[in-house]
Amino acid sequence: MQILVVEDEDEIADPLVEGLRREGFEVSRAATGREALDAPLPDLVLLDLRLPDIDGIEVCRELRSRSDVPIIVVSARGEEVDRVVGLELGADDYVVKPFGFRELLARIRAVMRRTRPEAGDDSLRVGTLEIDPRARRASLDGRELALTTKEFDLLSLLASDPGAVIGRQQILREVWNTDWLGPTKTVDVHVASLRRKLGDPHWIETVRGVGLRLAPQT
Amino acid sequence: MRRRLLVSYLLIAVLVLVLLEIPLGIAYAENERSELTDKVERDAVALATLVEDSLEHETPVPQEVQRTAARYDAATDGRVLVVDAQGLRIVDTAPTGSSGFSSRPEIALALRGEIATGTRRSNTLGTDLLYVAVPVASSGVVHGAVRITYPMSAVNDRIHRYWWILGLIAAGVLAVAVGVALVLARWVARPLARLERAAESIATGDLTARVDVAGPPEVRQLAETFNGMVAKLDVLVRSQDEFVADASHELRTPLAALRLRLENLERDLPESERLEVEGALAEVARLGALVDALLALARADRAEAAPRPLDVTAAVDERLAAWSALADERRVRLEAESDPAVVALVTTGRFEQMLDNLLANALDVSPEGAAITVSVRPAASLVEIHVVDEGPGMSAGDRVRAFDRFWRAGRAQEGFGLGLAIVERLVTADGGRVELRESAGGGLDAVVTLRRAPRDGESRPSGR
Repeated sequence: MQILVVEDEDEIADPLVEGLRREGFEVSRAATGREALDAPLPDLVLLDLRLPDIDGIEVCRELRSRSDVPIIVVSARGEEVDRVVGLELGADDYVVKPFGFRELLARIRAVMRRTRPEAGDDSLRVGTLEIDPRARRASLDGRELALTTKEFDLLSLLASDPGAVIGRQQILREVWNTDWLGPTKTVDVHVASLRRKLGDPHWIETVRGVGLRLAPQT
Repeated sequence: MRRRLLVSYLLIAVLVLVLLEIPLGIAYAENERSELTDKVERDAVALATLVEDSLEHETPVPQEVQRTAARYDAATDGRVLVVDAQGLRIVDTAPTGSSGFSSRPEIALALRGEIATGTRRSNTLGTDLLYVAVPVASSGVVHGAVRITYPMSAVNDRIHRYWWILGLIAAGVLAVAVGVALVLARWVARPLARLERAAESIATGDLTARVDVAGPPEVRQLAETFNGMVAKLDVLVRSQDEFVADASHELRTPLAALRLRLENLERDLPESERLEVEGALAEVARLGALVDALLALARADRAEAAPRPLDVTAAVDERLAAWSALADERRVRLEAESDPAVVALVTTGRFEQMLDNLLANALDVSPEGAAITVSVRPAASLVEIHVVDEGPGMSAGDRVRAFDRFWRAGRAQEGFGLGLAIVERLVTADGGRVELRESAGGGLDAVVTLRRAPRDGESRPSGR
């Protein structure tokens, strides 16, 4: 799969290109907006919003007007404005710096899944829990769960590697796209609500000081 | 401002009128009186000349002179009295009981050879009388005196009428002055009103507002200074915004690079040696979180307020529902005590953020089986929201310090100790306040006071 990394700063671009290649992607890099627009169309674009020549938002708009290529926006500002603008301009997802590979790969896969629905059934099954990422639905014992967006994202993340402990930071990054949500126990509130909807608190196990683990119940 | 100008203008007008009209009136009265005195004195001297011969030779006053005196009396209401050297009455056009006048001061003066003039009140006639007594003398010898007493009523009437006219003129001038002052005050205050409007829109966050430099030099100067100040403020706020954006970028970019490189490194390491890199990655995440937290605080510091009416009771119920699952897990009861539909002024989304912070703190200190009570208490113009826990509480000093940045309660906790600092800034931006009190049970009573919406249930446009 061909990925175009549009990033002017070498300090980010170098390890990013290196890491993605190791993951088995074919990676090309554009250091400016101009280069990005002139490059042959890849399978996915990783687009930094802060570019030296053209505003990343313009590049995004231009790319979208030409093709349906999946675009993941990279921004240093986790502010709501950027997110809305990025996504309204046709980007498929965004990551906020400082992001890591795990998060980035999860998003790349999720975007590819969404944009290539012919890829076949990729729903997750964990015991009696069934999650359909494309339809964004989850059901338990065949009974559909009424989940909020964040609850669904959280459950999907935990179900992506059942039995493994997922760290709080990873949860914050992948579900809330931030390293910090304020001291408001947002994660705990959502976890508690999710447990209630699953009917058995043991479905989601809290590993103190580490994170959360999905523990299938029968 | 306009009222002050108006009062000053009118005060000056009144002062000028008083200073001009009162001396004018007094001068007019003086003039009228002295003219009358002069005239009466001339008449008295003329009469004295007529009776001089008779008095000198002690012969009866001729009939003709007596008729002249009577005609004078009839024509002018002036009473003519002629006395001899002993002060005994010779001629009197309005005779009364007594015939000896030597004891009257003006007669006595005249008999000593001096002219006496003056006014006195006559109770019998009910008016002021002008009297003039002149001696009848020839070659240094006084033979008698002539006195004319003259009622002042005609003169006084004229003087009164004059004062009335002056008063009417003053009233007219004042009426015109009020009109002119109103126009002037509006004219002078207009640039200031423009300045005020600009200041208001700046206070509501529009830093592009400027004032037209117009009007008198002082106001122009003020407008220029004001515009300069706002321009500086605008630059400062912009540069702060830019700093926040730059800091975001400048701090996050190397952090992202560091994280990516560490993760690349981690994959090359054997499983046994990954722990160190995991630790380093955790620190990177912590730094990232700190950057986010500081930026959140910086944004809260200059949080723009656009308070709108919010049904606080409904918002409390909604948040308590969201928190109920977590509270259940911790075996903590959440209770609400509130009147239906209490509406407060708060910027959208902020109330929930505040309440979440306070609930998070309360839940942290609540032991199993305890309750957290959220109550909404409306007062006349304010709404108090209380979040009361049954935890161990805090000392009075800690209750104040808890709002400082990076303050954390004794035990180490997750987070950076910014929650209450941010809550305080957000509440203050909406014109409210937040404080920690000791609850009746010894726990904490976190009180958020917000302004109540002008009329509950009625929405009001914010800004203008």
